[in-house]
Amino acid sequence: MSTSSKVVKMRRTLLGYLPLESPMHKFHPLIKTFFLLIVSAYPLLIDPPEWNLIGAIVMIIIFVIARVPLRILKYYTAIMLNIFWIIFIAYTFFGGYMPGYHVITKIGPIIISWENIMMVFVIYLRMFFAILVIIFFLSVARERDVIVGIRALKLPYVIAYTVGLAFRSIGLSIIDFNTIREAEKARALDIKALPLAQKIKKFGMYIVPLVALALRRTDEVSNALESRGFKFTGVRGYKRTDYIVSKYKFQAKDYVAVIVMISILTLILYLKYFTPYMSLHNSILLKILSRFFEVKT
Amino acid sequence: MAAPQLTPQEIWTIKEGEIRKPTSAHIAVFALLIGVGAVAGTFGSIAIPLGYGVTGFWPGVAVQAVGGIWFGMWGVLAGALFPFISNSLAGAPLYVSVAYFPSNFIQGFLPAWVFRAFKVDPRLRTGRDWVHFIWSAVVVNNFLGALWAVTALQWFGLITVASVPLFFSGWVIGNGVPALVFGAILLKALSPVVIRHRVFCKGWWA
Repeated sequence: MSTSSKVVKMRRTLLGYLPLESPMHKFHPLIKTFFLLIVSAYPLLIDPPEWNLIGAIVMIIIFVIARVPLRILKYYTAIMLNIFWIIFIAYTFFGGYMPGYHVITKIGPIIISWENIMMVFVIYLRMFFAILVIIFFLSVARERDVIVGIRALKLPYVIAYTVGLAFRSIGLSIIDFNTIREAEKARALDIKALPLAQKIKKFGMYIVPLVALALRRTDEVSNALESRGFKFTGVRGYKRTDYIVSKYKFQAKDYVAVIVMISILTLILYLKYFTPYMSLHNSILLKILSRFFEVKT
Repeated sequence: MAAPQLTPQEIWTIKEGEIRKPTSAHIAVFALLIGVGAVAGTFGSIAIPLGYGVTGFWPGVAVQAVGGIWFGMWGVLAGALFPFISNSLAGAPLYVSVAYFPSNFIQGFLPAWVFRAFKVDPRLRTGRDWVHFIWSAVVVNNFLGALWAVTALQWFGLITVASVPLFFSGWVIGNGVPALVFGAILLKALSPVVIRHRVFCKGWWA
């Protein structure tokens, strides 16, 4: 019997799995870190919401091109909605009032003004774009990418080792966490049936065995290092072999990616500080919304 | 034969001829604390989110406080760094996490300093130990942390002046309660073992 289903090979990333044929694997690992550092700054510098909306749309297109499974975004739907409500409540009801604000309506002592509603859109779309950037990084970056990035930047080996061990220990802590939960289930504790407050309390209690296991693992790791005569400084007079770093070379497309990211950042800075295009007064989306709320700005 | 009981003075004082240096075990505990903290912090950030990584219940703060008390600067730095991972996984933008760094640093540093400066017993055996633990690891550290965090959020334009009390109280209560409950449990349960362990730091680095 033959099967027509295609097997997609995947690679583990910090947040999930990425298909092997993803173009992101063709870039130098350092590019992913650069992406996080540079592109994360865009939404912070951009004020007009339509620009951040365009940024968010571009990010979703990048998700598709990079073949990041879009179901990852589903996990963040609740967080995105929660942030919207927090911003909405914080600005609409606790946004304050200044003379000159355009009053839309009054609910008891609370004055709902156009200026505060405008800020809901400005801040939320900024957050939306910024969150997509961090989700993308976590979806395409692997532990190895971060370590290779550190080594490629010629930072001390001890930093690369510590970061690597820290990432590894997250995985180990999750395994320990699941072991503890399994042990509880084996003793007939139905966690799903517990009310939320009890679930949270239970989770807090997991910290004790997790820390105890981390302490035990500290002994195991340091004993393993010392028994092999390992030194973070390396052996005097000998250069440390960087096997993983030697597998990656900075290529033309990596330089192009960095140049594009820095160019966009420079353009945003220029538009923000030397032209009126990045001011809220020139925002097309806000003008449309102000008409919707029948506000003359 | 049971090991002799250490007095608080003995716990923190470096004896004559005692050599204490940072070792690979300290680097290992630093990295492993980041892992434990990231797992604890991520769950908290998702459990009762108030937005921007601020949460109504954050057990990660217990790791920050006890990490600093037990492992000195290794614990303080681990406590300041793991929120980068937990906040990111919970959907907080990178530069918001960067802005929280001083808050997370002070939340681990203050109890670490108080326990060393006043020779407080990490096993919390007397009323004096509890008083120092509560003011340094539950109240003042989280108060200072929240103060910085809301200032940073306001600086980024993410919250308004009027919504500061909401986020400030969310941070202080969300951190204070787990710091008190889980911090005390961790100290009571594990301090007798940790103070005899080679990774315990009498000073800041060893």
